[in-house]
Amino acid sequence: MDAAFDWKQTFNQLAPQLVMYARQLVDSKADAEDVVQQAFVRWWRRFPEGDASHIPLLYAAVRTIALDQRRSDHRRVNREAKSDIAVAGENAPAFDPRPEQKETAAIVEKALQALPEDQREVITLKLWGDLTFNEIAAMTGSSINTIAGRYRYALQALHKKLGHLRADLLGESTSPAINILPFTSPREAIS
Amino acid sequence: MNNDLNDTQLENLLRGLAPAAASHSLVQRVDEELKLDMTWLSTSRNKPHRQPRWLMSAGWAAMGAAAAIAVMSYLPQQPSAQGLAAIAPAVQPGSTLREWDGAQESGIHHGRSHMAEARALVVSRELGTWVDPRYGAQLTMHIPSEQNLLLPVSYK
Repeated sequence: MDAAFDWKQTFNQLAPQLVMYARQLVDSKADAEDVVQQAFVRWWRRFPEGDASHIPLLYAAVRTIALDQRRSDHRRVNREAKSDIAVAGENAPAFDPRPEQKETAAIVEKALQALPEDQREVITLKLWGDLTFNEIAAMTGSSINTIAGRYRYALQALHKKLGHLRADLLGESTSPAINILPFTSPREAIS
Repeated sequence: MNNDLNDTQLENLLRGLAPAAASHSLVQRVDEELKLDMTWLSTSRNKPHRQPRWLMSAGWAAMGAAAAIAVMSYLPQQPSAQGLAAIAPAVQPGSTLREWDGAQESGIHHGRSHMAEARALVVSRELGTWVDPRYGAQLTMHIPSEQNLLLPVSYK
């Protein structure tokens, strides 16, 4: 079997979710991609067969490398702040939505950004990384109850932000007569 | 009428949003790094494996022992009287004798290193004898040879 084909197939499947997760932990998409590069190469060297049961370890590697990078970035930012050098951030979109999902994606992205970091991490790993509470607990060093609690709180917070947008978010057609939403554009919901 | 999303709908809604694809440059960077790994692996596979010193010595000793056994297995065994005619080769080497016929000295010269040296031409003859035990036949061959010798000369 062609090893190059194997890693590319695995990488193409995992990279978007990995970059999205890394972006929760570092400042920019470029930094997130650096983190994913290092983590994936290390992981592939260790598990060249790309076994799905080892995917939680890949997320764990992303987390470790991202936190290390963030610590060194903080030191760098502190040094640069002292010398009045600005650090440019990057705001590339986290999602790649279909045309009809664009507004929804923007709202969800803002809603996610508004979550506390530990809740956002659990939501990202659970929904897009497809990890179990058990696996998330193991990689973050927290108890399963803590992880489940964070997930529940995160969903509640997202409900508050997104729940009343049901008609728009789900793409359901609503007649003006029964539209009880207090706004005309979904974007207004979080503005 | 409750239009709010339930948990499952909310989860489905979020899962339905695909994360942005990784950039092409990221794929290239990973490709290059993994290719480097493959290059390193292939070169390290071709690299001669350095054995421990004791193992190399043991290897040489084993080769020496094997060579000795091989030579000994080809050496003529002490034959019994009855089987002598059957197993003896047709012709066996008898004796070898070298006779010195004379030497011609061509004087003392100085070589490239400015050392004094004497050249001598030594003429000799080699007498080789072969015997055929089956018939008691004996063959003697005279092989003349000339050798140039270079002898260092020292002065006191």
